[in-house]
Amino acid sequence: MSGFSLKNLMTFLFTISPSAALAQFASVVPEGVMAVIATHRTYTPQDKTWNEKGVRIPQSSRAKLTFDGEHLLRGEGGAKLQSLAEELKRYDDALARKLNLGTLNVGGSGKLNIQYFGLAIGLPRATTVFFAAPIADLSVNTRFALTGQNNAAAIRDELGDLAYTELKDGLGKASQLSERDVKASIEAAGYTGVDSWRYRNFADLIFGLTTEHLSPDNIDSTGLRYSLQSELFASAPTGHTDHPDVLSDVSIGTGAWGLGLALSPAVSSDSFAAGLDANVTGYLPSSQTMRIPLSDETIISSSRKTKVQIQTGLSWEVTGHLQWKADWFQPQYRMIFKKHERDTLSGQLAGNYRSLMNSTGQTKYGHALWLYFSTIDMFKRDEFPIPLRLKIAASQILKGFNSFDESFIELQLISFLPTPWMRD
Amino acid sequence: MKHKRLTTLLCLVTASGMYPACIRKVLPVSAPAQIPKTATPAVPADPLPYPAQFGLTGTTAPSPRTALGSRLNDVSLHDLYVALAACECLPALQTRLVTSINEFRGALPQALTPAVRKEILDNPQLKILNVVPRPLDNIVGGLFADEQKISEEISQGLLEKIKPAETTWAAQPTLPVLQLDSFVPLPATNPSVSGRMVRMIDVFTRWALVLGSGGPWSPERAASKDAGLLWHELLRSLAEAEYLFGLAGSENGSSWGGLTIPVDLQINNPGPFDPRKAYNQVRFLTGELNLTLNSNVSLTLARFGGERWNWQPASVTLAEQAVQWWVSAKLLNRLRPLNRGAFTTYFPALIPEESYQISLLVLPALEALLTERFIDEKSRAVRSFVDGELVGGNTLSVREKADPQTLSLFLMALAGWSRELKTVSDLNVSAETAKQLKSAPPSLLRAAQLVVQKILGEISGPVQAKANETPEQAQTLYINPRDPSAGEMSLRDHAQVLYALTIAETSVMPSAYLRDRIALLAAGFLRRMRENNSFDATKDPAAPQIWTKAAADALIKFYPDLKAGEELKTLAKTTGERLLAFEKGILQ
Repeated sequence: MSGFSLKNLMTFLFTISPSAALAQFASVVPEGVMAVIATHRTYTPQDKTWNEKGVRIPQSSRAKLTFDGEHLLRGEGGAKLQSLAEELKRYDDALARKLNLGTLNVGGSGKLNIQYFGLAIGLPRATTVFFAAPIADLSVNTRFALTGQNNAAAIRDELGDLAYTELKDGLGKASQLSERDVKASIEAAGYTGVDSWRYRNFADLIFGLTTEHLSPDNIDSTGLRYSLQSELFASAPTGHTDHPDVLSDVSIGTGAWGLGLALSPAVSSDSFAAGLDANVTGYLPSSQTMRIPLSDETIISSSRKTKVQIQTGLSWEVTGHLQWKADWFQPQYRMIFKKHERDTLSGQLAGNYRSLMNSTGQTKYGHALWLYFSTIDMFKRDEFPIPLRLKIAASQILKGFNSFDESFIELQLISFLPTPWMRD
Repeated sequence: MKHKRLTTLLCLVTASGMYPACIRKVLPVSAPAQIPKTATPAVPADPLPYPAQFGLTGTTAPSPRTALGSRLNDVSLHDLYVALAACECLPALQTRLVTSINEFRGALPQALTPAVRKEILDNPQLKILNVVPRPLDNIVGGLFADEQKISEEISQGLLEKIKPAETTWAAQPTLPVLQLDSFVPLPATNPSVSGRMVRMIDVFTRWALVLGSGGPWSPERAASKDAGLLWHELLRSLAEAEYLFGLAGSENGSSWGGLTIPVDLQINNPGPFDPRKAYNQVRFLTGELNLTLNSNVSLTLARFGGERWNWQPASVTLAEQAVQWWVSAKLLNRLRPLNRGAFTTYFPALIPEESYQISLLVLPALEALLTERFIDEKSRAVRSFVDGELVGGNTLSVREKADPQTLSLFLMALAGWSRELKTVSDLNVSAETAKQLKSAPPSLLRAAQLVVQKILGEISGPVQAKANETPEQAQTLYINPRDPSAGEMSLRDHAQVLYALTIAETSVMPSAYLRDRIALLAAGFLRRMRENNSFDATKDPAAPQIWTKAAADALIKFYPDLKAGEELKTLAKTTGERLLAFEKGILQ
């Protein structure tokens, strides 16, 4: 394995984009009405991922660390094994490269649940302000499996009494290398959270303004209704960002202030609706302490930590949807395209920033089925005491590039409450 | 590895009465008084019949980069002597070289050799001088001691001593005059103007020569017309060692001789180093010393000594010390009870029983000089020399990495000592000393491991295949392995490195990996020999050819299954034949 840092194993598993929260507010709330939203979303178990070529691979096959001389010399097996390989190199470069302690398969899996709590208040002129606070509950577990032939003992025997006692001892220990030793060497490189990591806290907070430019109440001569909504929103960097000393942690937030614009044109009849949701988010420059690989080492030394200037790339999302409208049941089918442009990283410390940047560009295609169960019309007809809307959604990623499997199921409940400023 | 209590170390020649016959013959009182002759300075007798092109007379350097020669700025026989001792070949040449030494006078008159000096002082007839008033004692002494006669008596005494072992040689009608003056300069070196300069490297390499396969214990010696001189040279070597360490002394407790210098080089006054007595600092032999005498009269010298030695402050080279350590290990090997074998009958008569113990005297210095001086464990460096800048001051600096020749010599020395100390049961030393000796091999092995590591990792590498040539499984030695275009090291160096690695692998550090590397280096060496069409016997120095034979012989002996075995045998044979022709040319 080369060009892949173990630190990045789960790093791009989850970065909750503002659009994910944004999608919770699909419409304008009537003036003086406050919408209270509660959502629970459960993502599919993260034991597979899409690689940069668009192939879905198990997480366990994604990170393979070959403990051969070449990699060990680069420090990818930790300082002790690097020292061992360097000791062999003192006799001959070929002897060092001959060393092979096996292959370490590193896998990871994650479980993510997100609860959204949001408020939206309808303002005059078909405008709504909204605020959403996603709370992520994420647990990540890593797995280490050492396989293959270990020739350390054979090299020790071959060297015989030519080798220093320390070298013999080192080769003896290396011949008994286990997953536990590997973990210890990773920890020796200054990492915590080697086995697992749990996060339960806020992701990036979202707030914004939605304006309806064309109301669905406008009916043309053919009986079709046209609507257009625009949203201006911002995301605050309140979510966790990748910590350089925690191996298996995951960025829940982008670490930068985001500013975005969304447009939602739609056309509908009495029974059907079709529309587009398109949004783009740009980010302000930010900085973050990171470990920068020297070349393409798997375990990056703690001495490689530096403050990195980040220009987060643009996030795009375009969703097309078709909806059947019944009185209280409204199923919706959605086709989704998401893209996050590659981030730009730079810092004072020379190193392989490109390998880190490469893992930040993502593309996804997917589809989703949303089922709305609404009492709003019944409430309007005084047939139901509370205006509620229940959403049951299932989203599936059909194809991804360099991305995690963002498939999920979701349960959402929106209740509408009157305020003193509510218009009759 | 300290030997503060080598309590059983015996004074070699004096205590054993090695030379009683020298003076036991009563000097004729009636001998006519003669004006004492001036001790003969070290002037070469007849030039040796060595062809100049072999580099033996000094007109051609044995090797332009010889570790011994270049460090000492000396075109000499050092390399040849060491190569011969390592090769254990050409015994006739060795004997010839040994006999040539007897044609020169040493810097130290024989009257100052402790054994002779003691005999003179103990002579009852000469004791009368003790009551003669000082201004008259020389004159009176002259009445008793004929300078010429003393010399003859010493010669006769040595002859009587050697005779039991070499009856055939002793029965020859004309025998060379045997002298016991010490520190004979090498034939090819330019003697100092005073004739009183002593270079330790000369001393050590002379010892190496006599300890080679053609030495007194050798079967070949019986066929030599100069067999007795081999014993004589060995006795001279032991006498020199006794003087150098200052092991013998007068009855009043003062020591005679002692040319050792503290290992920290903080003091440059030579002095004795006798581990039998308490000592504050480890001392060792190094560099160059000049001798000043108050008199040239044997009797005066024996009675009053008065020799003054002046050490010339200089860097201490690893090459010099390595030869000393290697030779001392060889001395132990030759003289230790375990190896006396067929010579047990007359060995004690010639060589004091425990004379082998003198070789142990270098071990304290060996340990002290390795630690943070010649070896920098932290940077894994083997230094070429240590330098007491401001001798007598406080600064000790270490510089410069050792070259391949020095590394090879060093490895030979370390392997030699490691091998000798594997068994100490035959050595008559105290339990404490035996324990210390047994504990020495690990540190010697560690140093040897480092040296091999330097050779394999820093100067050797794959042979660069030429255009349209199939890459060969072979390695060679590069001046700069990172830039093979800078060229290869000399064939001589290649041969010596091969020899040293082979000795080390087979004697102290068995290693399949090292064997493989040696095989690759051997293949590379043979390839070079093929390309260079071997040596040019008419132009090339003898020493590199002897190293070639030494390497080939060692490889054949220890690795009979080597892939290139047949080619090595051919190389050893052709080189041997060429050297044999050379040897015959010299002996004619």
